[in-house]
Amino acid sequence: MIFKSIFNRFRRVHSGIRLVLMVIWLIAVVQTKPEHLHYLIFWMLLQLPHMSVEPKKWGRQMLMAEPFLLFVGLSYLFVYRAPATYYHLTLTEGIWAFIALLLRGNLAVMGITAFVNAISMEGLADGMRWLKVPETFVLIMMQTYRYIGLMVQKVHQMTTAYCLRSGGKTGVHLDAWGSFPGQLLLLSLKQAEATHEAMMLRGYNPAASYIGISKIQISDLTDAIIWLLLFAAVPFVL
Amino acid sequence: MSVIKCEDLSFAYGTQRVLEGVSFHIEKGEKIGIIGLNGSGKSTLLRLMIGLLKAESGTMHVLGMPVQRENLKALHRRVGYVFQNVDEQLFMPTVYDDIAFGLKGTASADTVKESVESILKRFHIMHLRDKAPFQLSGGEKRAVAIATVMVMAPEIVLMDEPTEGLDARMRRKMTAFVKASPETFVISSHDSAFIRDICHRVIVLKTGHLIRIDTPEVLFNDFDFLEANELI
Ligand SMILES: Nc1ncnc2c1ncn2[C@@H]1O[C@H](COP(=O)(O)OP(=O)(O)OP(=O)(O)O)[C@@H](O)[C@H]1O
Ligand SMILES: [Mg+2]
Repeated sequence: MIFKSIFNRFRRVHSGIRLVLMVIWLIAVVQTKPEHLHYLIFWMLLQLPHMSVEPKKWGRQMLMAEPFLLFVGLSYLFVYRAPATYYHLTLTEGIWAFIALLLRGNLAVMGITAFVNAISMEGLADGMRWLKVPETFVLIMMQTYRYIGLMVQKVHQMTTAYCLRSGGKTGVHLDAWGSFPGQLLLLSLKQAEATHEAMMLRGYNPAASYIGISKIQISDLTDAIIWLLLFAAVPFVL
Repeated sequence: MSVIKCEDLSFAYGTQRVLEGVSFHIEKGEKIGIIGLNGSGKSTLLRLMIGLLKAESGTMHVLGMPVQRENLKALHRRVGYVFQNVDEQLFMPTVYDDIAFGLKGTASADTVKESVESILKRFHIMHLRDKAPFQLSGGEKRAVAIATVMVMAPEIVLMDEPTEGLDARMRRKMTAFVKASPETFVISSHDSAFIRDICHRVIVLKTGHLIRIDTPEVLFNDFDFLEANELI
């Protein structure tokens, strides 16, 4: 019960402030040294109130980052072979770097997914506007983001079209995969360009405001300060 | 008075010649159709009129101004363009925001609201007011896209395939709407019945050449010509 009310309280914090908090959190996480890895566990707990999706969906999103992290991390194993000792444990520098990368990487991804899931795209746009990100950029980003939905449909159509023509074989043959991401990238670039044209044609005026910016409440600030204090306390307490 | 004057216009995408030596004049209040096979250059011609593309040679004058960089702002205020692909035209979170977009900064909030609501009523799309444009059906998107352009009260309206994907009822409404509007319209379409109903004159493009410009009565009864150019 008490957790639930804390969760709900944090979810109402102004999205601009949350964006700032997330950036601070990311910088701290990414810069954690191997001897401070245990901070991450406590910082992770601090990220929990920001989450609002069911764990399954959230886990699936995080899994997508795994191949990339492993790919980068594995190369450390072979490159750094000198012994290193942290937490009374002697391993090679490469293994420590690998562990650190996995922990930090997953936590960074977790923070971003939690953030993106917890606030809507409109919320993010609001936050970015509050941080004085140029409106043109925000509008185009929102449109391109929405277009991702269409892109997913497009992938579905492309694979369906492919499968229908490949005589009932399921899945897409490896050969065809190479051109898919390229096609999607081109599509999204074309979409961003078209949106820009559509805006210009309707007399887009950079001086006028198209997206409202919501005001900050005192409670937003107090919540943010409490969170930051807890966050900063971790290295001192431990 | 000619509101659009196109003289010996040529255009190429890279090395692919798309328009060659195209000339015509369009008078104020005229409704002009552009027909031709797929890839004949209809959309390209419309994009040249609004300055989304730059002619390689020849000239295009719209409302007395050459279509050039320094005039584009003024032109975009007075000339509306409805995209062939409506997904590219709509980009705001809601239908209301999208229609209001072009008016923001030019009028007070109350005036904007009034104009948007009156256009929503005129197009019978009041019920879509708070929906996200990308969730609409094809025909609904088309109606909203046209509303976003008409709300700005343009003097010239360029429309690329406006009846694509419309059902009979919407199409009838569209016909009535264009007929009743006093503005100049330039409409590219494969829908010959629609073009025939609303246009004063029709431009026929074939692989980038203007091969004929005529009234629909004469053109659509010249079966030899239509057949020879695969238009029927
Ligand atoms: N962005 C582009 N880059 C390169 N070539 C293009 C581009 N857009 C169009 N083309 C080419 O230019 C030619 C004319 O295209 P355009 O879109 O003007 O045809 P259209 O008459 O509108 O056809 P449709 O009836 O199918 O809409 C086509 O051959 C097309 O392949
Ligand atoms: Mg076209």
